[in-house]
Order: sequence, then structure tokens, then C-alpha cells
Amino acid sequence: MQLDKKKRVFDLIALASCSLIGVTGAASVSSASEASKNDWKVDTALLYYSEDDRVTAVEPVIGVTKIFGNDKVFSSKLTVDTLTGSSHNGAAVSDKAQTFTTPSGNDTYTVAPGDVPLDDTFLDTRVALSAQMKQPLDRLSTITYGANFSTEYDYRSIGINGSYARDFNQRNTTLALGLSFTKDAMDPEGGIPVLYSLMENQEKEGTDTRTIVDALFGITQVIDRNTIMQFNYGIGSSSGYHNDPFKVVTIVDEVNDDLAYMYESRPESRVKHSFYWRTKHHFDKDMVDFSLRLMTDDWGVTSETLDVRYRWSLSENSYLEPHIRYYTQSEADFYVDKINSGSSTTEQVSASYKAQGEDFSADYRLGNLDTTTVGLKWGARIAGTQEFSARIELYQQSGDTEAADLDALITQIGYTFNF
Amino acid sequence: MTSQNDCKDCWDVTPFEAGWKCTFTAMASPCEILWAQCSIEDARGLSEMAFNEVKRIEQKFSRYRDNNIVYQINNSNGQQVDIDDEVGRLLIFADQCYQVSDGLFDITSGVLRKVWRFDGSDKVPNARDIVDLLPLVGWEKVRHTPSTVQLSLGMELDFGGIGKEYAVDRVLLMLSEQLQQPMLINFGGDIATNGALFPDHHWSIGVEAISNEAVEKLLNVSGGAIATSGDSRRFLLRDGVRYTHVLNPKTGWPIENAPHSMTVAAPSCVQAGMLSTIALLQGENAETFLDEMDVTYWSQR
Repeated sequence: MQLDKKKRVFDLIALASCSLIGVTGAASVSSASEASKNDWKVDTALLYYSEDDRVTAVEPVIGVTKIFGNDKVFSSKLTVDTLTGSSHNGAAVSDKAQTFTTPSGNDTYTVAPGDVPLDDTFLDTRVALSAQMKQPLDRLSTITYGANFSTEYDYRSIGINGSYARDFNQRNTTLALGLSFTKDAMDPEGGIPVLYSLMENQEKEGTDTRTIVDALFGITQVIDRNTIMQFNYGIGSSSGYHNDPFKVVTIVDEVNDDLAYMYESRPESRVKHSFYWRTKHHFDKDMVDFSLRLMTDDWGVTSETLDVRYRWSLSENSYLEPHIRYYTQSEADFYVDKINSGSSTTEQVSASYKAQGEDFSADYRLGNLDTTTVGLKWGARIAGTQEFSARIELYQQSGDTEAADLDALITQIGYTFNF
Repeated sequence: MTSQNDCKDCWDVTPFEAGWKCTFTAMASPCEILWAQCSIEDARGLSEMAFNEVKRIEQKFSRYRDNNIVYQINNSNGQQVDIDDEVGRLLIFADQCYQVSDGLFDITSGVLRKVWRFDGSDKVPNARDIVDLLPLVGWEKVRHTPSTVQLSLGMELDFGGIGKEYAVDRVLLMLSEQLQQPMLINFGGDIATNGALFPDHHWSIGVEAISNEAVEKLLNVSGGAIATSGDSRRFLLRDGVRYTHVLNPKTGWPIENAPHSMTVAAPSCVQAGMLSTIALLQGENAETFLDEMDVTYWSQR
């Protein structure tokens, strides 16, 4: 009876309010105590990447974000990659068994006739750490600055970046300018293979570095209440050592018999231009996120990436997100699948390439390449601000040679919480 | 960005991250209106309209003025006073709230403030002074129709318990008729919104903590209204007893063991305000009162 009376009180107050104001409906208010502004937001994810018969990667990621009272935002991310399995060493498929020296020079491995030459000693752990600070400069502009560091067994990279963004046009337009500087150092076990040297000779010498400077100019434009567009132009220039110290090219004779393997040589500089266009559009509940990226460089590589995601709201707290990505690339000017010796000896081939300084690489990542990724992600908010997500994607790659053809499965689970 | 400089009655409209923010001071509170993108001209027009409406309500229903309808009613010496449609509707609302609260919500209880001054001091009035005033309290003694009201000699009406929430709902209604956009109205913590800016968005509203130990509470609001009643700064303290400004119109004494503040969510701000006020009037049963109604609330004790 008590309960009925309370219910009646509630209904009467609702009725009285409604006749005074004319508003009916429901309140949609929830406590955000877990997201109180002094809290840390933590994103965790575990990614598992598995290529058919090749590389397997396990990658835990942890990111933290803190928003300070004065609109400063600090974010930091730690990634640990553990790679195991085998990776294409650059040599061509042969109808005979092939024997290679391991990168360290201490051992050999043999590849069966007809198989893609894979170096199965491939094992590495990469640790990457980045930190970023964003803060308002004045009412309309912000600056962002940060640093990143990554290290693995034979490779180190350190970078700094900074950007400035300013709003215009009643905050409908944002212009951004960014600059970053990265230094990479390669230090493979036993040293870096001498360019053009033959694998059997195991000529190695010291370490090398590469310097990369990237500049970015971006415009973000609000099109209407539901649509936002972003255009970026980026230019990147790198100089120094660009080779993959583990990649060789097969030298064959006139009858296509394998003679030897020669370490690759790539240009010592690279200038890339990229253009990026992204559009996000909110429907009533759903959202579509579309992006297109065009890239061209002075190595003769051009690429196009098309990426589409559709976020389909299943309920207020959960969504399904189908994802499709298509990437196509043209080969670099110096890409070869193998080198024909003509009537020369392999030593002569090596010496002649070296004398002319002619670049070549059989790394399929510099050849013609098409990749397609199809995936589905499910995300749900649980208990206020905690979020759980799971993603599964199929990756398919094809190129000029058998070595470039591979399928991979990507699975990821993510969990976000505040404390 | 756009303001009428240095005047007391001014509004200011500035861009905020996703649209416009209009700010001004009215009804002794900081007032804030946020809405999505529109042109600067529209933003100014809406600001002007909102400001004028709030000032209109403040001027019409303030009991500190001598040129408004409330002054006329409170100084009518027992005579019948003609009222307009809006005053009539507010009286009907006050009447309904009086009925459902079993007489605890009473807009005639304002006269008790002649002896109760909640200034943080220890000046608790003596019982005789309170008893002397009680005959002037009691909504049941007020005769009203949609177009007239008649008070007994010496009685007063006080719209202070409704005015701010009413202004919030009125302004939201007016502005959303002008601009089909999501917006948020926040007049000194009484809040209403017609929706969030975009699907994943919600407005984050901080609820002020009363005690030093309590942490500010953050609420996510994507529709409807919230209102807070309480005694954050208005109380008397004597011999360790805290006398809140929530008075029981039947006894003339403060309600005992009421929460310091009660924040309630409801579809409209007047509804939220009324629920929080009536809940406070239940004293120690404030929370159980709301629990059984299945409303969302936060109380601070």
C-alpha cells in the first residue's frame, strides 16, 4: 500500500509538471563516478597475429590517458611484440633444395625444393613506448608534443614530435601543422652484411643508422552536425641505411639454376608524399568511418589504401563494427625477383653491381602487392565506463611471387577501464 | 566573443568545443546554455532570447521587488488579485505539489523566513516567534482560480522553490523550438537537455560536494533534467545541531535528519526539482521515499 502511494505521488508530480511545462519522456542520466575528471583511463589489448606457416606475433598493449583540470591531456602507450616463426629471406623459389646461412653467420638452414625460402630462425621481441602531451595554448589553439622509443634485438628507434593546431571559422575548421624527427639504428648480430656481398662469403661490417623527418599539414572540417572530414598532406624524407639486413636476392644462370645469394642494396634516401582523406558520418545511432590514403615516393612506389568501417549500434551499450581494408601498391624501380648472371660468375655479378652502384631488392614488400583485410569487431560497455571489445580479421596478401602470397588471422581482445 | 560589455545584465556567447556557450548571471546563480553548431547570428539571437526569458521570469516572480505580481499579491491586504494565465498555472502546480506532499510543500511558508535567517550563525529563533507566524502559513487558506488569487491578511506567496526549475524548462522549450539542435540548460545546477550532441556523446555534469571529504560527483546526462535541493550553505548551527533551511510548514521548524542535498533526475526540471524538494521534506526517509519511486537520485548526508 505504501508503495502504491509513492507511485501515485510520482505520477501526480509528473502530471503536474507536464501540465505546467508540457514535457514528457524519460531522463537519461547516469553516474559517471568511474570517469571523474581526476581519473586515469586505461586501455589494454592483446593482439594475436598469425600468418599461415610463417610469423606469429603476440602483442600486448597498454595505454593510459589522464586529463588534467586545465585541459591538458597526457597519454602514454607501451607495446610489447613477441614474434616467432619464419620470414621470407628474399631468395626465389627453386626446384632444388637451397641452403642458407643464418643472419648471425653461425648456422645454416635448408629449404626444400618448391618451397618459399623462409628463415625460420626469426625470433624477436620488440618493446615500444610513447608518451604524448596535449595542451591548450589559448582559447583556439593547442600544441601537442611527445617522444617515442622502440627497441628490439638488433634495432633501435627514437623519435620526437610536435604539432600545433588552431581552430578557425567558428571552430568548424581546424588547421594543424606537425613535425617529427626519428633516428633508427640497426645493429644485427655479427654486423650488417656488406652491400652486394655474397651470402656464402659472410662479409659483415658494423652498424648503421637512418634519419627520418616527417612534416604534416592537416585540415579538419565540420561539414554538418553529423559529418566531419579530415585532409592531410604529409611529406617524409629519410636518409641513411634503408636495407633489410636479412634480405638476399637469388643469382641464377641462363638455365635458371641457382648459383648464389647476394645481399640487397637500396637507395640511401627516400622521399614520400602522402595524401589522406577521412570522413566520419554519424547516422541516428550508427557511424560510418571512411578513409583513403594515396602515397607516392621517389623509389617509384605508389600505393592506395581504402578503409571503411561501419559502427552498427546494437543497443545503447554495444555495437558491431564490420571493417574492410584494401591496399594496393606498385613495385619499386629497383625491385627484382632474381638476378640473371648471364655468362658471368657470381663474383663478377657482385662486383659489377657494386661498381655501378645499382640498387636491387627482392623483398616482396617492395614489389607489386595487393592486400585485403576483412574483419568484425564487437564492443560493449559494461558497468559504466568499462568497455570490452573483441576483433577478428582475415588478412590476405598477394604479389608478384609466391613469397608474397600469404594469409593471416588477426584476433584482438581489448578492455578499457578507469581508476 | 560577443558581449555587451560591463553591464550587470549582460550575456556572453563564446564558442566551446562543439558549438556555442552562452553565459550570464540571473536568479542569483551562474547560468549557462550550451548548444551545437549554428551561425554566430543565430547564437546571438538565441542568447538574447534565453536571457530575456530568464530575466522576465526573475522579475515577475521575485519576492524582492515591489513592482511585480508577487508584490501585489503579498501586499493585497486580504483582497482578491487578478492574475494572468502563467501565474494561474504555477498556482495550480503549487496546489498539486501541496496535495501530493501532504502539505509539506507549501508556497506560503516563506513568511517563516522573517524569523529564520539561515546565515550560518547560531541565531535560532525562539518558539514563541515561530508560533506567532504559523497562522500565516497554510496553502489550504488560499483561494485561487485560474485568473484570481486571494490570501488572508499577512500571508505571502514565495515562488522561490519553483522559479529556477521553471525557467530552465521554459528556456529549453523556447530555444529548441527555434533551433532543432541538442542543447543543455544549466541555471545554477538545475539542468535540462533535449539530447546529446551526437550518438556517443553525453553531457558531463559535476555535482558540487558539500563536505570537504566528499568528492565532486560527475553525472552523464544525455536526456531529461536534473535538479538539486539542499542546504549547502544555508543553515544555522547551535549547540552542535545543524538547522537546515528546509522548513516544515506545519511546525515552523526545520526538517530533522534531512540529507544535506538531494539531486534527482526526471524528464523535466520542475519535476526533478519537486521530487528532490519533497524528498528532502521527508527528513531521514528522503532516500527511501525516492527508492520506492524508482527514480535516479544522489543524496549527500
